[in-house]
Amino acid sequence: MSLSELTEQSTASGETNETDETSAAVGESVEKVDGWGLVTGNARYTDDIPTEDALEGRPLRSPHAHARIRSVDTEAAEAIDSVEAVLTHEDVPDKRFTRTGFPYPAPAPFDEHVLNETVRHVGEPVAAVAARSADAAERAIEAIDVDYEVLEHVLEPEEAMEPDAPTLHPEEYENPQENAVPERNIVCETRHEEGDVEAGFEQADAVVAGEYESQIVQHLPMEPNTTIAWIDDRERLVLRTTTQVSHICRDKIARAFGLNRTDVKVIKPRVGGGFGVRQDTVPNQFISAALALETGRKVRLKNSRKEDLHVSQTRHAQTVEVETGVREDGTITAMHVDITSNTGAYGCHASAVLSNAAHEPMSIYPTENRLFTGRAVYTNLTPGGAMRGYGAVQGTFGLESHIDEVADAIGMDPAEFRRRNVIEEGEESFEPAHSESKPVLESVGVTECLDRACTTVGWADGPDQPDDDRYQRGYGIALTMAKSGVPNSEYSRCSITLEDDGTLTVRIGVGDTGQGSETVMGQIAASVFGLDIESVHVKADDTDATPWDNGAYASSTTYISGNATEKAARDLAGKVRELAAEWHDTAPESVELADGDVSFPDGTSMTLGAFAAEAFEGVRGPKRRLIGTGEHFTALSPKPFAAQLAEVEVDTETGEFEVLRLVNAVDCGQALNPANVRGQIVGGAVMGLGQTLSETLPFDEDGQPDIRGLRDYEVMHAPDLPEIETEIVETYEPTGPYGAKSVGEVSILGPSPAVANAVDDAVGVRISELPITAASIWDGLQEGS
Amino acid sequence: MSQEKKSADSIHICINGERERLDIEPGETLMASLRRAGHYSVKNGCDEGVCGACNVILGEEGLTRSCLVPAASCDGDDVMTVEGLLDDDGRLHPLQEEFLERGAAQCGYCIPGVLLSAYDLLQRDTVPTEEAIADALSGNICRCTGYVQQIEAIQAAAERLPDAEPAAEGEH
Repeated sequence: MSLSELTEQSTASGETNETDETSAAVGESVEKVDGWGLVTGNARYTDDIPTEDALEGRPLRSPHAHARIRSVDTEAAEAIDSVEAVLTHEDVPDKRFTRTGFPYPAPAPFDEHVLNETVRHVGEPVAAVAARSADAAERAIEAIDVDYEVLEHVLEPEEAMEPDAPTLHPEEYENPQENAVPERNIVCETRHEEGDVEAGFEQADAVVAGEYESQIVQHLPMEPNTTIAWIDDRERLVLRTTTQVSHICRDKIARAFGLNRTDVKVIKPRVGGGFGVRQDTVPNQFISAALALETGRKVRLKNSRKEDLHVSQTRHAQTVEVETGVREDGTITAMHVDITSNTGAYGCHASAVLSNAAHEPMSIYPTENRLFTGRAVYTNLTPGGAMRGYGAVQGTFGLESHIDEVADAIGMDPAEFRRRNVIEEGEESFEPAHSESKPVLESVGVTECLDRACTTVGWADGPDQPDDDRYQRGYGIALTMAKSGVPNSEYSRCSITLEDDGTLTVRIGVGDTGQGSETVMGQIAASVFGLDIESVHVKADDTDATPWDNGAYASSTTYISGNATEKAARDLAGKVRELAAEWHDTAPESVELADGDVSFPDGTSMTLGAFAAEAFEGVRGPKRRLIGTGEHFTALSPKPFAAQLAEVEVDTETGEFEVLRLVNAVDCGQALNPANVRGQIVGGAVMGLGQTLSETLPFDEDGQPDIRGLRDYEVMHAPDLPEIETEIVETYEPTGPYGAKSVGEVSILGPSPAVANAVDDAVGVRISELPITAASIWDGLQEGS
Repeated sequence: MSQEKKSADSIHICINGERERLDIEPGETLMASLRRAGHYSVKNGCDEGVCGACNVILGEEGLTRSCLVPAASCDGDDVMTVEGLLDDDGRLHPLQEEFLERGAAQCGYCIPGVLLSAYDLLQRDTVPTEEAIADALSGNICRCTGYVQQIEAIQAAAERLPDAEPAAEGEH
């Protein structure tokens, strides 16, 4: 907006808050509330403020995969002019914690300090420096002399569980997870059986078994992890940081340093992507806080891209074994999924990712007899963490690849086999044994997704084959399921103020890192009053200004925070009706709120703006300021579904292949903002293709990350895209805000198995290891011929 | 701090039509000095010339990764950042409008660089095919959108721009 525009507008109408559009905001592809800043370069990310007065922070990182620090000599570093602080493990609190970003205590072992005396992966911070220039900070890092006692390291889970393997966490820790055996590096071991799997296998005509491996990948949000930390004028610790969970981050920082929650403030400015890596309170944040507390000064600590690739929590590498009993008629009689998960140096999300890896994909095929067994294991690699899909990427690659093999074993079309076994409305999802969730699903559109995807490509006819039979094409399909929040864990509270011109200020602590949460909250609030989105301002960016919200993870925001927003808006609407009814001596129920107007039974009406102004000024009685509040906490977690169908072409003479097409049919309940929903579906699918085709974070035998930087980390670029189609298969989730479920994670799950299945359909080669490469297809072709 | 700044030098550049003096430090990249001067739309996504978030249009060089260019070599140059896309009245460029309209910006961190890649393409090719647009974005990493809506937005903007030929004549 410009002053001249505003002047013109107010001269013309005398009001500034009305527009011509009266569209119901929900269900429309309204522009993002933060969109203008994003396309003009005006959005301010963490590091986009002047920091001339800030000290530069730098960590010293371990060159060893496993070492005990005998001593650290910091004298030379401290002697450098302009060095303000040098911290080692001796300077940080003794109490251990987990970086895992759930509300306390979080389902993860308390196995790390801000700086550890034993380092357990290459790149782990050993010491940290704050200096008045970047150059001095770097010189100081180099001047620190560390005496390492290098310990034996282990990189593979199977080896780490051997009796003679080095123990990564020999000291007893708090909050051990289910069946932990720390001396054998087992973070947790779990078993969840329904029915009788042994009996189920005996009823089968065929038992099919397979093993599927997934690799370590990185989130790679475009903004590297960055923190600016300072002590404010009330002596409070403030972090301006790349987080997707501002309230949880505040809680973790406060606990780690023994501070009152009210003495810590976390500002979440615009954040350049997250995908789960910012669910955790990362070493960058703890170290920045420590340096600010130590120096009393503002400290800036920005990871380089290379550091971010090497040391940020990764997707856990997993080995997924599946065994399924099946009858000739296509009935699944029993299923056993066994998963070994490599959690790396710390038990970050170890147990929850493991559990999700099996429970989500297994939910798609309800069968009387099912068993999940699994374990998460420490190794000397960069710790795993939360990443979009949260285990279900790995599990879905395994299970959906396997389902094709099961169908093949009984000679049934894989789409038909899925259709016969897939979950339907009213059936229960397979929930973790300890879960307090209510598993009955009320909106299940997965069969329609399957049918739509198949119809779109003409599944029954198969792909058109090229004239040259050297090139073979195939179709592959995968079904996916995600969630809408962690049952009985998510909590959101929203407050909505009716301003005196009839606009709304929505205060809610959602962690929008680009997915459009603030826009969706604005749409929901606006829709309750029939306002347009321009009449709503969403304030979500710091922990002082917003009530507790768990933040952005587990695909919870639209469902949980959206429900809190809808409740707050309806609470406010109720207050508007009550006051309006008082003025008109009528019943509140008879007052209507629609199209931004307040209408009375006698046929008269006033705009919400006029109503708010009169209430504020006290024209008809005492001055009134109206605020609505709402909170949401639930045992429900409705499931979004998708069918993802890939077409590939394989060169039978080289094994080279190309994904030609990816069809995504997605049931996310009602699409509150169809353009943004499509953005989530496509963005997830392309990230899933990256995991399928090229992405990998390799480590050498010493545990050194084997990439020099971003140039060696192969993500999808625009020219790599296949033809991508998106079909929104709308269902109505009765417990969701305006019928919505989540959509953030469901489309990243399917590309890997869909492509693997398509390769098999094309050339009869089953690839069971990610990423899928021309070399692995070539090997398969050689074995087959 | 003052001591380290003694060696600082300065250059004059013309940023989005405004002449400006930039203080530079030895060995500093154009990206770093632009950002230090408050031009925060120039993003530091990798600092190794791979992600395209720091793209600027640099004089005769055209589209350039400012993290690869020494600031000292830019004395006297014209530099265009994403702010330069706005017209004299501060109105959005069709590219920006189409990005908003089509949900092509999610986190936004890559967007200034992507928009400048698109702008650079449209200077050379007023009726770009989908393939040409994808190629023009080959030096940009977007981790959120999967590029599809960005490609559509660029195509839509191209069709709106005055010197674009009627869509029917393009290769669509």
